[in-house]
Amino acid sequence: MDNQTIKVKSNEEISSVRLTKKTKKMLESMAQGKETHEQIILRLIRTVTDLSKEEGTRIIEKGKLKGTKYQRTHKTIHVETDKNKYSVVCTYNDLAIISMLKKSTYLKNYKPDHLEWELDLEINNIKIGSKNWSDPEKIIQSDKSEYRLIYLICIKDVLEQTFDIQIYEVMTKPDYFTPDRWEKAYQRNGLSMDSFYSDVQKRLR
Amino acid sequence: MMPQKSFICVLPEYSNQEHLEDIRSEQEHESRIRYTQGAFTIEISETNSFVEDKYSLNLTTARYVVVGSEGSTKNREAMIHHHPHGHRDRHLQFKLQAAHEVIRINLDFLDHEDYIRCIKGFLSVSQKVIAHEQDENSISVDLQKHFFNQHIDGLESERQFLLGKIRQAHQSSRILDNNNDPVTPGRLVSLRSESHLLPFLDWL
Repeated sequence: MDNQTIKVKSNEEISSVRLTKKTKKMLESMAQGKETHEQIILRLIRTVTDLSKEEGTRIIEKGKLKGTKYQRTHKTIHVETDKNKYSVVCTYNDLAIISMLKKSTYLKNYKPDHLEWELDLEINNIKIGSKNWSDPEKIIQSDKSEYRLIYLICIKDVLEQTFDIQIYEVMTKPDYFTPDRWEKAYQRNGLSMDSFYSDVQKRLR
Repeated sequence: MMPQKSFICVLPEYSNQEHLEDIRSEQEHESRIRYTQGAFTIEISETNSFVEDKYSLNLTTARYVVVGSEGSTKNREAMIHHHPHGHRDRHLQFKLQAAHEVIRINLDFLDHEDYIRCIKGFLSVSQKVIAHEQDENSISVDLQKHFFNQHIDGLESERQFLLGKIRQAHQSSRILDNNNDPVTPGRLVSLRSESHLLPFLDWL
């Protein structure tokens, strides 16, 4: 009989990984904003994991035709407006590979800027403050404008997180409802105009 | 701006609303009807994921039995479901009481519409399983009325459709055991002793 005892601790232990100064500098050069060493490593691991998945968004080329087969991903986004605090469960197209192609100078010949994509974000579940989770349809029925604002806040958050950008053109409530401000942000960051038309402009009509 | 496209919601349409429970968590929605009498419980539940392409309609029974001085819970389970991990095909799955075995019936070449027909067929077949449990456990309450409304009677063609799909699965060796080996015709006949599986083998 194996009498090994399984121990469970309440906190994660810190390790002492030894790196050369050069490797440490290389790692730091990959930081985005004020990321810690751990955050950089975790982001790199996440990127590699996403790219090595058998499934995942794929770019398919046949002759002159280029298409994208999307994998869906999800996130819970916490939003606060003048009216309420919300937790929002969204699903959307996984654009990790497109983000990586945009960043990679080595792959610039691939012309990823010409690759069009869209987020196709859906809000599937929503919680107002500390109430129970509820059907988003209820907010659509009671306050369409508020729902639209929540949707656009989620779009902005996913774009910023996926492409590591800041959409400063869209900050206030009126900004969210102004297509021109979104268009400027899309153009400045080289984002897909297909996404602008379908994920933003169409929703503002 | 409509919510999730892939959400499948069949059970509420055919269930007794008085006993239908609606349970919503961050990533899942469940509709459920349950009947409990003493140590016996029977439940139908329909679960959708908000974040993955994952769906399940389950029929489960649990009975607490005491043999000698030892007590244990005997579970039976039948389900139609699909999920993005493991066995990805849309399939029926049965957990058999004997030998803790699992039988899977893969439903090939189903578009979304036919999948919904199979789910409705599963609900229709569930009536027979519930009727069997009612007899076996001497339950006086009318379980058909406890679980379903009158619309359930209109699902006979869906039941036949599902049984046809199960027959096709057997012909193409898509009824599989724990080891993913096709179930032999002889073994299939012996599986008729499993009360949760029997109504699904009505075509034999």
